[in-house]
Order: sequence, then structure tokens, then C-alpha cells
Amino acid sequence: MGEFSYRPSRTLATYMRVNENQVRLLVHEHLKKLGIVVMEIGEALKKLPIAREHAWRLIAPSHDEYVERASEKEVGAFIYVPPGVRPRLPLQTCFFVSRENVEQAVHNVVIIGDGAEIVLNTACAAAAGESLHVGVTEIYVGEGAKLTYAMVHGWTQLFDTHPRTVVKVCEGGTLVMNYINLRPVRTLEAMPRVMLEENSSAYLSTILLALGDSHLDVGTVVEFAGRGAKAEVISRTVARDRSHTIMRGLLRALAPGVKGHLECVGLQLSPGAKIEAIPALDALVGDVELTHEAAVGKIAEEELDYLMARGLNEQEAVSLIVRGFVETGIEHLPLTVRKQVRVILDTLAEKAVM
Amino acid sequence: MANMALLEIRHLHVSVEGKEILKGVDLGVGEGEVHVLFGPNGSGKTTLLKTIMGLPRYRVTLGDIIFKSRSIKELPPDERARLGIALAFQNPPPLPVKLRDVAARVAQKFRSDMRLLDELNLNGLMPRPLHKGFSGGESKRAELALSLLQKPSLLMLDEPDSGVDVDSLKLVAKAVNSLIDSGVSVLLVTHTGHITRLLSKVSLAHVIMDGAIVFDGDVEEVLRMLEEFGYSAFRRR
Repeated sequence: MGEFSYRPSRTLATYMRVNENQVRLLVHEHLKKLGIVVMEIGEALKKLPIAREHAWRLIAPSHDEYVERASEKEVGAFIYVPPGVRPRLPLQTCFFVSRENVEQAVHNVVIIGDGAEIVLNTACAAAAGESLHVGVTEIYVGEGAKLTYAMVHGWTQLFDTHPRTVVKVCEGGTLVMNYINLRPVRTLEAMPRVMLEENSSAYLSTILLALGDSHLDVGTVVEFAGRGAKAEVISRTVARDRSHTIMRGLLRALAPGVKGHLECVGLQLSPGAKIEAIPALDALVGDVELTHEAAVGKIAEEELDYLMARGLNEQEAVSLIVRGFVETGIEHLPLTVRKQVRVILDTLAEKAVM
Repeated sequence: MANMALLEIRHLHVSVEGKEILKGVDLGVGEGEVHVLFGPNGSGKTTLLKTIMGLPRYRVTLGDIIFKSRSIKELPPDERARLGIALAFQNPPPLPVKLRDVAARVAQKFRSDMRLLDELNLNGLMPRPLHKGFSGGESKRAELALSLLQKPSLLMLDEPDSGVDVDSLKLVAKAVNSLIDSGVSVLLVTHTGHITRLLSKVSLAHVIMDGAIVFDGDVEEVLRMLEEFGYSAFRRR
């Protein structure tokens, strides 16, 4: 678990779920004073009207079999940040599977009040064996609010995972999402959906390390529902061994005056690693600006030769190029998260050549 | 040669993609010496430096390269770099890695201090991907910087004076001079000779034409002949 040095030295609250039922909740005293709520979703649905008003509004339990499983269990985290609250410290959630034959199906609801600003870090990991993780997450970013959401996944080669994330960003809100997959996984299938209302903006980056026999099918859908909405969606995949990665992306303009850019770039480190890049643009109204860029290739020999002439051996040269390749969007992250993400990307670049 | 040879090129023949570019080059660079190699475009200057560095496309078909009294002909470029050879490229490839990260990695590898770079005015370049959209002068400064971090005993400079603004050229010359003064050997390639008058010393000048060295002598003499007659003065006999 060495690579999960992904704990901020201090957090406002940590919600940790191990396997199906063990939950640990560490809450900083300061959190209550701010009116922030972090609790088990089942409890929140019983006690809090606001939880009931928001749960299952962005995605229906009947969406697919995985969402249905999560809806039957109704376990997971409920997070509420009141309007205008801007704590300096992040919130953290962690989903861990420690043994085989676990079906961890969770439902999370996150509500960021108008004008609030918060950093949410999520780590999902497995230590052993054949198991399943389903994470259904509904996120509301209020008017003029900002959510920075950093996620790291580290599964095992026998693990299947199907996250379902839907985010609604209200007028003038900002969403920064940074997703990193670090370890082999049997299947990772995720297509987070982001709905942008008037003048809201999103910066979404996905960084995948595809190792072993991993099958990754990952993409992002952004729906521009309000005038003036903006989004930049960047996906980078570093693929090795016999992995198969599908990088998808869809920008759908439903309102005029919106602007979006989608980028899917893959780097193949082994000849047997397959990458498919499938960016798509749907302009359903006029007066929009949607662009995309896709590229898949291996490291140019000239670049390796150059770095070797600078004294690095081949492995070190590849690792340095990978590190540069995945260094994307860091500037969009707040300083508190930037350092941790850098450490994770350093680890990724090391693992890419191990 | 007064000093013990640090680098000795013996009757070197080199092919690139099956085409012979160097056709029997002999050259010795002693410790602390500064050699300037003149030549027209396509004469084999860059090929010679890249072959000494060990870049894989440059195939030695005959002859040998002796550095610090051992043949390095079979060594990969990283091992040659670690033996003390550095090359400031004329046209380095753009990389997807920031100059700062490349410099930090090289500094770590050679246990050198990033403060070596203070005088090269690189702060604005550090957060940019190396050589991506760099101007001529920016590229030369970055190349010299990375070479400095390697703490070389032989510094090879490939046309440090081509496509460079005057200020950058002065900065580069100043940094090269401080290396020369500290006893580093230099093998500098130039087409025009612009930089040679800014160097604190030049031990010997050579002219390469069509893959072979056709003249060894005083740098002022070479410059004078070039100014008067151009490279035709050295046409291979």
C-alpha cells in the first residue's frame, strides 16, 4: 500500500468503509462548527430532508444492474457543505476491500451549498482477490460554488469496478475533477456524467495507468445545459503489457454560447497494449465551440536517445517521459492537493516501467 | 600534443542509414584543450559529435573512439555520459517534460547542484516542456545548462552560435569560458565561427570537408581564410 501515501496530513473529516459493512468516521471538531455534515447515507436519508430531496435525483436506481445493487443496500457517504462555507482543509472518503468475494456497492450523495468551496479526496483500493466495487455518486455543486474532487483508484488484477458518477454544476459553479488509476484491474468501466448550467465551468482530467491484463473503459460525458458553460476534458493513458483501454469522451451542447475541448491521448509502452480513443462531439444547437483532439502512439526513439545522452538509462528515460506525459491539469488543483497528486504521479511514472 | 589525450578519434568511418558520412576522421583532444571544428553544412560535423556521444543511428564501420584510455565504441550513450562526455545538441527534439524536471533528474544522476544554472537566465524556461517552442537562444541555453549539470570532462557543443541572439551567445560563451577555465576539455563545432572570438582560449582549429579533416591549425588563420575565400579554400585535395 506504499503508493497510498494519499492522506492529507490533516483533514476535516475522513469517512472510511472497509468491505461491506465496517465504517470508520473521523470528524474534526471544527467541522460541526461549520455546519458540515458527514454521515452514513442510510442514516442521512432517515434524519435529513435535504438528503431525501437529493438522493436518486441525478441517476435512477433502474439505470443499470450495478446502480440497482447499490440502491438495494443504501450504504455509503452523505456529505453536505452549507452555503458560503469554505474550509481550508479537505474532506476525505476512502473505500477499501481487504478480502475476496466482497461486493462493495455504495451510494454517495455530496451537496455543496451555493458559494461554498471544498476539496474532496477519495481513494478506492483493494488488497486481495476477486471482488466487486460499485460506487454510485451523486454530486451537486451549488450556484457559484466550487468542488475540487481528486480520486485515486488502486485495485487488483481480479477486481471489477463500475463507478457511476453524476455531477450537476449550478449557475456559475466550478468543478475540478482529477481521476487517477494506478494499478491493474480486471475491469474498470466508468463514464461519469457532468451537467453544466449557465456560466458554470468544469476541468476534468483522467489519468490511467493500464497494466497487466487490465480492461479499462473510461470516459466522461459533459452536457452543456446553460449558456456560457465551459469545460475542458483531458484523458491520458499510459498502457503496457496486454492491457486494453478505451478512452471515451462526449461533449454535448444543449445551449448556445458554450465552449468545450476534449482531449484523449494514449502512450503505448508495450506492443501488446491496445488503446482506443473515441472522442465525440454533439452540437444540438447553434453558436457553440466544441473541439477535440486524439492521439495514440509510442515514445519517439529520438526522445529516448536524447535523454540517454543526458545520462539516463532507458528505463529512467521512459519513466521521465511518462511523468511529463501525465503532468496535466495540476495547475487547476488547489495547492493543498497539488503536492499529493504530484507524489501519486511520481509513483505512476515509476510503476509504468517496473 | 602537449597534454595527454582525453579523447582520441582513430580513423573513424561512420554510416547513417547505410550512407557513409565520416570517411576516416583522426582527431585528438587533450585534457583542458579547446578544439574548434569548422565545416560547411553536410560535411559531417554533427555526425562526428553524435557518434562520439553514441547515438544509435550513427554506426561506426571502421576505426575507434578512445576516451580516458578505453574504447567506448560499444557503449550506450548513457554510459558515455556517465564517463564524462556531454553534448549540447544543435537541434534537440522537443520533449513532453518540463525543463525543470529534466534538469532535476540530470542533477540527481550526476549529483550536481542546480545553482550551476543561475547565470544562464533560465527561470522563465524552467516550467516549460523542454525545447517545445523554444527560440534558438533559449534552446542553446537549455542545452548548455543540462550539459553543465553533467559535470563533464569533455563538453561537445554543436553550433552554439547558429540562430542565436547576441545576448544568448554572450551568456553561452561566458558559461563555456568558466568551464574552460576550470579545465574542462571542449570540442566545439561551428559553421560560421562567430563564437570563437568570445572564447577565452582555443587550442586548435580543424576543418572538416566531406567526412574527413582537411586542415589543422590556428583558429585565426582558419577564420581569415574563411572570411577571404569561404570553405572553397579548404577543398579536399
